[in-house]
Amino acid sequence: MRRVETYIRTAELGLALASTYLTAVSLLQTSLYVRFKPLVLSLLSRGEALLGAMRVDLAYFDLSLLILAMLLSLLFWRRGGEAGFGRLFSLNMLMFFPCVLDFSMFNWINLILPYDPAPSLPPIQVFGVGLLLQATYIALRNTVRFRDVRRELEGRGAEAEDVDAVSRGQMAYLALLMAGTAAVVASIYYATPLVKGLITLEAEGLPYPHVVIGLACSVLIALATIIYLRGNEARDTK
Amino acid sequence: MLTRGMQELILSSFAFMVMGMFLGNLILIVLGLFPTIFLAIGLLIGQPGEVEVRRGGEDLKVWVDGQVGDTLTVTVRRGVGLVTIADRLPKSFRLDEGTNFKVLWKGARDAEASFSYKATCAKRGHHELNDVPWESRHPLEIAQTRLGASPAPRVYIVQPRPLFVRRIRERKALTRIPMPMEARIRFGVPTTDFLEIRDYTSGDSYRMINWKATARLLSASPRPLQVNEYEREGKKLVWIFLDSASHMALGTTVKNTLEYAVQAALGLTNFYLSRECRVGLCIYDYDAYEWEGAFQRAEPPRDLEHALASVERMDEPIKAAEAEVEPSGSRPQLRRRLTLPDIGRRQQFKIMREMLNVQIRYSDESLKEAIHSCRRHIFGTRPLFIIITMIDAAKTDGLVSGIRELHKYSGRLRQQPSIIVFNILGYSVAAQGGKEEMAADLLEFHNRPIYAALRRLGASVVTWNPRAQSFARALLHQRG
Repeated sequence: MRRVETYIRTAELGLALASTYLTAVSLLQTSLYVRFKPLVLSLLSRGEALLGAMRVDLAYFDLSLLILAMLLSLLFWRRGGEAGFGRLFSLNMLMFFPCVLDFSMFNWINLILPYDPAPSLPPIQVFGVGLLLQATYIALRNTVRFRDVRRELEGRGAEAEDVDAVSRGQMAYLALLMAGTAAVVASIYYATPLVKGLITLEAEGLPYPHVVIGLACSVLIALATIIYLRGNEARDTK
Repeated sequence: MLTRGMQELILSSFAFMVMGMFLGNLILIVLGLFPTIFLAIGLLIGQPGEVEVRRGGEDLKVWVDGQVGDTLTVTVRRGVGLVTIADRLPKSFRLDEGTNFKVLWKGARDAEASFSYKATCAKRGHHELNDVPWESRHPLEIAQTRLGASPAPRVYIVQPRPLFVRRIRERKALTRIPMPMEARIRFGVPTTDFLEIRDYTSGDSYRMINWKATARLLSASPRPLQVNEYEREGKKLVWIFLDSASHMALGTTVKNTLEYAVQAALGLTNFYLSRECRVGLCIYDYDAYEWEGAFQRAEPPRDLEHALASVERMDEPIKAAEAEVEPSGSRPQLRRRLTLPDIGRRQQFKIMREMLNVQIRYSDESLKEAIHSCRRHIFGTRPLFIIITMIDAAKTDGLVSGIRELHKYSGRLRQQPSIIVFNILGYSVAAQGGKEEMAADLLEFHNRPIYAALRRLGASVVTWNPRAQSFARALLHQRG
């Protein structure tokens, strides 16, 4: 494996471990986890004989969860493919979801069993972790493609130095694009409370509930993106 | 380009936003914007769109197996992404040094790079490299890859290497390379070389009357006066007929029967031109569909509209569509590959130029039709005919009818025309390994009766196995 490819793989490892670690740590601080941890521990204590034989101390339950998550992350990184990174994203989302639920206006868990969210993490930290998750997912998808491009170019007879230069350029471009996107998204997040009053005033005048308007906006955004991309495709084909 | 990956990104973005709205969660809604904004910025910075390629080398004329080289400089402007450039070489070129493929990263600034290569030209031909194709990709491949070509013309003329036969040193040779028997032409200044005695015709000079012969014949029976006929001044004439049928493709792309046939034709051309002979070339296709109707004018009649402009028109003009319909029984338009006999370096150059383009099924005429096409240049002369082909026991009719056609046009004086059938052993050319060579020998053995039949028709058969013997040796071992 060439040096640049090692560098790509190392970057992938760093991103995978960092995102998993942060989401796992965030999970351990959520009120949902705190609510359900005694239940899980009581279930585990019933099999104390077995755990004792395995020399498992329940005092290290949090740490065990963290290590398990990190090991899974390492395993998915080692596989290296798009499917592996998809599973990594699912794992991270699974751990991230309880964190973000603490900041929801609609408490749907309370419909099933009594639960009052009491977030111990500041919302900016949760947002930051979410941002890292999204960035990790998109970055890992692209680094897989970069490695495929490397192999393709090498197969076509390109010189190794040129292929390395392309990979370096792609990585730099991806990093810049990620940083730019994160900055824009963070600005939107910070700007939302400032324009919330204005939006609320406008939305109250409309005869539809905000969910319907939001859904329509989301559909419009998705459709606009698809139409734009298809338009580009048709233009390039001509 | 809406790839699966992009669809997933858009879908995940949509899912985040809808879920965020359903739960009333601002974090999820804003996080849902991340993939969309990422795509939007990515698309805003498009891939490179302006690629310019310049060549550093020059147009070249080389022999087969010669080496050519070129240096290409690429300049990429606008956009960010990777650009690949490939200078597509002809299939028969072999890359020896360097590379003809370059990949280039175009960052924020204009990028420039150069690459060079050296290649060996393994096959004759006129090769034109017009455009250098390139592809420009988005760094993340979220936009359609742009394909383009930058004009950078280059011409390589790869000449076939003739098989030179200068001097035969071997004394034990069975025969020598034949020369045309006579240099007779119908018109020209009479030489002092006696040809024959014939009947007197009006216009003959009295000085040409052979009184002794006249007296001798008159003593037996009443006969007209007898005159001496002398050879007319002229050059000896050689006609080369080259087969371009599909069976000549036996072998590899680079080393096949046709390539050896071309080399042999050029070798013979050089040999006879250097001996002051006039050499003509006609390329035919052994498998061509032979027209069975009457031979007619192959070219359409000239436009008479201009010549008859002053004549008053009496009938309505015929509509163009009706006028274009070929009358029944007319001969279809054929590709005729004929180089008329001539002498010197100019002729050598003309034949060489023709040979650059020869390929399988280069002509539409059969051997008989080809001979018919050049009959006006054969009639009344005594040329040497060389038919370069690959004899196949399964199909000999075309060759036999061709030789009979030659007799028809040049056997006026009850003498056999000089015909050489130069047979290239195509199966031996194509054979790889011991078993295949044995099979090729067996097939050649099957041809023996054909050789005998051709000899009975008055033709010499020269067989040449290019992989086993030299061209000169093949000519030395010919048997009449």
